[in-house]
Amino acid sequence: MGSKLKFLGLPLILNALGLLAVFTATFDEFTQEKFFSLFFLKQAIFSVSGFLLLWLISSKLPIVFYRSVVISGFILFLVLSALTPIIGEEAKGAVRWISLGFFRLQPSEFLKVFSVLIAAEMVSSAKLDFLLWERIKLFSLALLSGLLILAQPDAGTATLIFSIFWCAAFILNPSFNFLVKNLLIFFSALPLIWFFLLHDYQKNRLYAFFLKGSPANLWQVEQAEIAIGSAGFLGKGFLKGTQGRFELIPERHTDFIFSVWTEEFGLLGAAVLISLYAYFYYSLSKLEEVSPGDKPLITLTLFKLGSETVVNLFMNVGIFPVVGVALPFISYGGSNLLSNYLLLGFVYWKIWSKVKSF
Amino acid sequence: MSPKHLTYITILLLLLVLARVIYLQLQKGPELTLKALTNVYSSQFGSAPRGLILDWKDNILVEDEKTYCLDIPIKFSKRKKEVESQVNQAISSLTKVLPVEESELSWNEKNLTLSVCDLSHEKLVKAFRERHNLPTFFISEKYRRKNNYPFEFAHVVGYLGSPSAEEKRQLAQLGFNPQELIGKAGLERSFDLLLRGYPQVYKVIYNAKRQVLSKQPTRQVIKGSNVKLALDLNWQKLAFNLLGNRAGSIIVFDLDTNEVRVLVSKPSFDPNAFNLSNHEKIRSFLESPYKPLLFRATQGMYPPGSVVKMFSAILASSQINVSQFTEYCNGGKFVGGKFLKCHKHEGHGKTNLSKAIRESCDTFFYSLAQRLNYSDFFQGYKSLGLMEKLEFPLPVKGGLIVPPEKVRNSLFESALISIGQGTFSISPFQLGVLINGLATDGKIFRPILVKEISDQMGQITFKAKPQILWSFDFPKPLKEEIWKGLIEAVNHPTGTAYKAGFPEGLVAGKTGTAQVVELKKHVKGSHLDHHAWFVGFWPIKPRPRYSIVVQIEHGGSGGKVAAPLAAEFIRLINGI
Repeated sequence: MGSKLKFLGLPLILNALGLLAVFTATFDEFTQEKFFSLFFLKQAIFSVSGFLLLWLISSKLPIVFYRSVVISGFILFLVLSALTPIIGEEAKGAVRWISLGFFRLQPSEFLKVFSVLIAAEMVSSAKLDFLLWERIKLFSLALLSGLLILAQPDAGTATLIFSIFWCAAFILNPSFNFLVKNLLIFFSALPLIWFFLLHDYQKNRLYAFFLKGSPANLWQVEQAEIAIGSAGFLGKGFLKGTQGRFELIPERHTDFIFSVWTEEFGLLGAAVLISLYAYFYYSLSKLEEVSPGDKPLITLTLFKLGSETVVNLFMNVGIFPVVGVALPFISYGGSNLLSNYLLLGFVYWKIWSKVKSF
Repeated sequence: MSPKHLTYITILLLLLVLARVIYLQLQKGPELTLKALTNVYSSQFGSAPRGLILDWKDNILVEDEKTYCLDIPIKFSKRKKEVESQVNQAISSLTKVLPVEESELSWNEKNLTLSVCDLSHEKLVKAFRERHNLPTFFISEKYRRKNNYPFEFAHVVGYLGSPSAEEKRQLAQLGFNPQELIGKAGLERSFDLLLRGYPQVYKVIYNAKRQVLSKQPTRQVIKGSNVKLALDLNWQKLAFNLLGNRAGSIIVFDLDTNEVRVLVSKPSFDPNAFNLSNHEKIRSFLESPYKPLLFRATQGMYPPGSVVKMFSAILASSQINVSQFTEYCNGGKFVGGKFLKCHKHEGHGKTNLSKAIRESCDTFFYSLAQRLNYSDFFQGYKSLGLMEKLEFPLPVKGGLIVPPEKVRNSLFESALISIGQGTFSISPFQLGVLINGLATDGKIFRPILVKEISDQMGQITFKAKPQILWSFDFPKPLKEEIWKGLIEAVNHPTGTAYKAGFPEGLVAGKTGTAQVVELKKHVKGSHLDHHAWFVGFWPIKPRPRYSIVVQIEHGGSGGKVAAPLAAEFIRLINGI
């Protein structure tokens, strides 16, 4: 079970490796005289504040506020998400950010976290006699928040939020029957999703992935594969990767940071990173034994972090279409990093308030 | 579903990622590594000057001139219109500041550079003075081939042109700049790889936008080797001018060293037009009815006429004692059922070998030819190397004799061959090579055009050595008799070249007047005139030092056209 230190330390180690990756991905010996990039500086500030946030929430807050903070947080970010298209900033054809001057807030990242927290609350307090009613409640929240995010447009996050609620509905009363029915519904809805929900660029990515068609979209996947395949066992060395540093890998400090990491640190580096994730998630799952009542919270947290990790890595190694999902604790991005620290903070707050010592 | 199960699934999927990484590295590693390298690194060639081409006294015939290019880098943008507007802006400021036409500018889309090349020094200075009115620019050096004596040496030196796709590939493999011009004709072609310099190669690092991040030189620039010819600049110029506006060739050998001192033919052309791709001029040369690109000295095939009569005697000497042979010429002879006329219709009377050469009596050689078979001539000339490819830096067409099996009336045809007519044709250069054997004692040496090749450090990497190619039996009595005929042809009042104006007692030689078609007296026109020949050597004593071949296409009689040219040349170079 380990100590609190492990639970604080593992995300911190991942975060530190992420900082290293952001440093190399944005380091530019040719055009910049500065030693490190602005990206690195910002990410470092976010890391420190994120970790402080984790420590504060997990050990300083009284548990009585937990439920109300979760509910008000969810509502706050739901509203902010709804407002984003109106007051937000446009970047790359989507409106996902609200400018706070020093920081561009991405409400959808926090909405994801609060979806996990509120769904877990709902599952924990659900009355199994009214199973259908509970599921309808979850489904309405899923629909509401999913559609709000989809409007930005951000299909990746919308899908994830929807899946979180779906997962909650499933663990409410896990049954094979529910699974099969939902899969049937999903597959029959596929044509609708394709024709009404997906944008052309998203369709192109899927085409590119499944049919190896459009070379323009295939290009970024190929560049990531080149980075990984040319790395070798020990990698090309710190600051010596060519694919990442010469801007061949797209989104090299965010979505494709794993390729940059692997290019410089090789198979060994990739294995270290993956083992850290595996150990961290395994440790999180062990918290169930400490506090069996928080099983839904732990499950949904693992679902959120695990699916983001897997989807991002699959995308990096070219076995999943390109969707904008960040690698938890590694990818550059303030909202993403802060929200993940926030999620862990809430989980530890809830569990450590019951179990004072391990 | 418990957190544990979810974690197991997640870990399983993470292991799949690791497996995929291993697969990419082991299975596709080499391929992807190559792609990673070519993505970023590439080589860019600079330029290197070609070597000089010199005459034997180190006069520079061909050299490289340094010129400058002004390159303006254009900023990358995903929007094509933005790039276009930048280019247009650069063009307008360039044309405003420098007196350059828009057509002189070239736009390289791959490297995002707008360049204007072949800038003179003044334009360069102007660009620097007014640099505040121009976008940021860089200056790069280029070289331009310049023939200092273009028309005189056009055919020998040749010219440059753009390499073909295959040639580019080969050049790149050898470490040369594949974009630089390649020798397309003449020595520029034969010695291209030696003349060509090793240019600077820059290791260039690009980013994904093809912006150059760094450009590092990787080696020393090596200038091409210098090629020193055996030709003499002044003699070549003299011969070129003597030809005037006639079509023809003059070749002079130094018999001491077997070096070619003069190798010139007319009409000629300007190789600089090719080197600078002046398409209008090139077209005028290509389309000219006078075929100026044809190197008549080595590539023109003409019936030799009487200038090969000495060889008929030499070939016949294997069958009969030619130096004692006499014949009575009364203006012609029946051969193979046909009457063949001598050029002197009233006949030469009693004629021996030296008189037959002096006065170019045809009847004498008809009689000689009757003692031989057609195939004796064919085999004889073959043993003199006539049908073989001459090892020489320029392509040489040798001689052509129709093989015996294709000839119907062989008696008649061998009579014609004996006076250098009929089925026999030869290039002036090949004839000169044969004459050299006559001027010495029957040894035919390989003619030397390229004396020396030396690299940038001045180290001689090639030096021509004399080499005997063929030889024939040339017994003393025969040689004396033939030489007597050749000396008298020039110096005896009845000699065919007596009136040509040779300095007395210096030169031995033979004229030739080759019929183009069977004389059609009623058809007039210069293109049906005879080909005029003169071959000779001097001084007679103590031993010949030089030999000369003069050939004038459709010039008329050898004694009246070709011999006076040779006489003037010899007088001028000897200061007489």
